[in-house]
Amino acid sequence: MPKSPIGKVGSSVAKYLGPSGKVIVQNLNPLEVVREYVSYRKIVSEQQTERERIAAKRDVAVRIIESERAIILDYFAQRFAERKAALNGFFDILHVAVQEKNEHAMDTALSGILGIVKDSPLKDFEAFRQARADNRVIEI
Amino acid sequence: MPVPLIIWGAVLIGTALAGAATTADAMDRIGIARQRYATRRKRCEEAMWKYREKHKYVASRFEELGRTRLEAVATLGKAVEFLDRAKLKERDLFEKFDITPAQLVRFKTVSVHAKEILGGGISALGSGVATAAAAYGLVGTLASASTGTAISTLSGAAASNATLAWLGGGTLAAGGGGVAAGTLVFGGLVVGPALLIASFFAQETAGDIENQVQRHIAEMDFDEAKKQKVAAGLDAVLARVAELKKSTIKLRIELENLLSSASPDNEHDAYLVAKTAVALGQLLDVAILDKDGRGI
Repeated sequence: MPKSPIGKVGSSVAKYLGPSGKVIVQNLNPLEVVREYVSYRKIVSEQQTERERIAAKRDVAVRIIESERAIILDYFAQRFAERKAALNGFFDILHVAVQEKNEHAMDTALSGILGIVKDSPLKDFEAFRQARADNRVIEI
Repeated sequence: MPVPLIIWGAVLIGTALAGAATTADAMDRIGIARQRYATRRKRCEEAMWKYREKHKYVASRFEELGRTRLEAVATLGKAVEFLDRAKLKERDLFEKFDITPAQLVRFKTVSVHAKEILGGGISALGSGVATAAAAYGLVGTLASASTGTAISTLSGAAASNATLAWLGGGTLAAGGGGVAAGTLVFGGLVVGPALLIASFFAQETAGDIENQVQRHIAEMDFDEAKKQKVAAGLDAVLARVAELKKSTIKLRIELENLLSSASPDNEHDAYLVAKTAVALGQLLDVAILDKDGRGI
């Protein structure tokens, strides 16, 4: 027997609600509605709590990373600025030393330049970060 | 018994209206959640694009450093030729400057190849020579690291197709729209209360979708923050590359100056050239990253 339009709509409602929903509809009574409402409110509240938990966890994690990023930026900005100033000074000495063919000044400049350049701030940063995490003072 | 019928009718109509309104609200919430996700995802994709561009930029700076080092190697070759002409004692070279005959040969060979590469005759990779870029393992190291990172980044940050399917797919489409469309009758039974209950399910579905959107957005926020932290590290690498490049250029120029004014017959000049050449050689030996992309 073909289904009436109303029957089709009813079937789609039943399909959407699923087996439990169908049972509810078939056995509909006011008490069931109240029970469903209470259950619904509980789920909504749990969902809201879960959203807040996710947001709070995200905030903490992002803040930690942002603080690490700020440390990286500050640390390297200072380190490279210091190195730049020192290197410029040594290269100035070298330039004059080359013009004057001053061996002693050249030795000073070259060892100063190599001392700085060979000392990698990228490598030092690991030690710095670890020391900071351990709250230690770095020996210079 | 008209009064109970009127009350019953009012209850049915009231619950039906409440159900329809609640369902419509759920649909609104789902729409807002989808929009929120789409907006954040677009921002995330833009951030990823910038991040990839930064990697490309860093790789290009490494290539420039490689070229600068090749030029320095070529100058080093001139210094070796000068020292050959100066006929310094090998023993002196070793004792005073730590230059071995083998090292001189290496400088010479590398410098010849460097000139060829700089002249465009041979590609750095094809030469099989320890060129500045290839020998010091810089470009390759970073390129592989950046590619790897980029790939993992993409898979981690961008929402998956499954997510897209989830957002655009069946769940939302089935999320009560058809149900709410004026369905008031079911099997001959007036289902205002049923519609109300269906709207509860729609609200729960909306809440579930909002939670999933919240989770995905949180992942994107976290991932983007991590990328920015890595980008800060890349800035440090860039500063180191710039420092090495500038130092190499300056030292090479000083060696060139020295070579232009020094005489091979003057032992003092020859020592100065040797010292500067050794320093330049040591500068060229400084690496930036290890094979795993860590700063060294």
